[in-house]
Amino acid sequence: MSSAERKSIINVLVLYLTSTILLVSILAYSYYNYETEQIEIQEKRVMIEDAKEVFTKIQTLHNNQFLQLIYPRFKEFNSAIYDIDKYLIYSTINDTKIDFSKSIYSKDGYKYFIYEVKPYYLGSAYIVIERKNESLLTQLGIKIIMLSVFIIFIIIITSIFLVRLILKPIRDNLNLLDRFIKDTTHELNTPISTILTNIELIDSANLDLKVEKKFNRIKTASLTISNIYEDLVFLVLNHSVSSQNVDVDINTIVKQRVDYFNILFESKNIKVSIIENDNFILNIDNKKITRVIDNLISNAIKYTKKSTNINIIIEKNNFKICDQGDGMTAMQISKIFERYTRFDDTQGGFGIGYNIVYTIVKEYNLNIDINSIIDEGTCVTISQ
Amino acid sequence: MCYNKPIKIVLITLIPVSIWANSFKKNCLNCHFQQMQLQIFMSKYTLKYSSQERIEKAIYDYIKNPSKETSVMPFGFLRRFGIKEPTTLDDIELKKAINGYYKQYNLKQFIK
Repeated sequence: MSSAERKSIINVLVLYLTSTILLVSILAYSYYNYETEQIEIQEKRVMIEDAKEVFTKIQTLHNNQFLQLIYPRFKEFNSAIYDIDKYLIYSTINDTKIDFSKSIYSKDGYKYFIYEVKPYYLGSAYIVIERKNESLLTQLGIKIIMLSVFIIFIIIITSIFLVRLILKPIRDNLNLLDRFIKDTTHELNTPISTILTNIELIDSANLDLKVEKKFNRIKTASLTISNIYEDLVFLVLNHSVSSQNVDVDINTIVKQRVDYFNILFESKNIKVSIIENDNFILNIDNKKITRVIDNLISNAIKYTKKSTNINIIIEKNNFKICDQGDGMTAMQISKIFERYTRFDDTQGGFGIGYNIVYTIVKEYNLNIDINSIIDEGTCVTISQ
Repeated sequence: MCYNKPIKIVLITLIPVSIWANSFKKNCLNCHFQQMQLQIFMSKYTLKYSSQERIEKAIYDYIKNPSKETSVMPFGFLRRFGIKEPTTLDDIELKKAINGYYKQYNLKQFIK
């Protein structure tokens, strides 16, 4: 799975899940409230029945008071009777501190219900019923949470499947492109080697001015092709070739690569300044650091304006390549390392240069920093 | 002496109770000598007024100013026994007697 694909999946998941969780939460909350209300209504109904039972019993007691006044006791609930001034008459409830401001309330795992009665049999104006809380609400909460988790889990699975389904054509296209590049690279190997070898063999000193100009153009073009070819080789073979790390003198290699690209600089009348403030030694595979420098220089050449300067500054732990091109926006910089990303169609290339640079930089735990100002230029810093 | 102290407390507690009880016996039991009748009165007052304070006030108001309207007894009872004369007792004595009656006959104390 590529990083862009992973990012897309995460973005869709976040968006989809946030909205779904919000919806599920609202539904769960409404359902919980509705069920709570129903449970409370049901509990109240039961307690009203309890109170009525107590009322009937005390009514009988009051009317037959010449017998013994034995207060009714029940298995399922406890009760108490209070007079009109809220003084206790008799109770089987342990907690006698009854809150008369509410008709129904919960306290210490018990539910209390206060039922007003008239006439006042045995003097009772209030019948208080005490029932053990049956934790129906807790059970309901657990049920709702479990259901919500299950729904969200199903939605996560569905959304991953959906995103993969949506991304499949894109992935197929990328695979096709990768396969095409692989095949092309393989086929280009022999002709490019032939062109480059033969160019090297031609003695340009013996050519007249007109032919030399044409020869230089061919040399420039073959250099560009060679650079693209090297990128493609890296892309195709990167995973199968092991790195051979040595201490590379960046100052020397930068000078070599600038020399290599000299003909390209001349073709756009670009002046290159190498400012060596210090020596930068880096333990890295020679071919890989060459790919990094070549790509940065070739990008600088591509995007800098004609007759401008490219400055290469080398410090103790970093080097910087600055052009005077059109610059990039922050949005473009954020996408620059994605493979096949190109911002200017007038320039050639596959849009793989910065992706290769990023891959190598990350492999060696180096830092890459891009500072760009629109219409002024771009500076790319590679640091340890 | 130390062992006299609990006896004093018991005496101090019991004296007012016995005074109220005496006041009730002295002023009421001459006419209301039937215990059942007194139980019925208490039962009717309890059914209508619920708390001690309200029952005592209702009895006080009735004894001070007896009438068919303020009586808790049914019509048949009133027709047979009639309405009593207003009391000649002073307020303090009357309240003591009512309190004594309540303490002796209230239903609350008999509930088990």
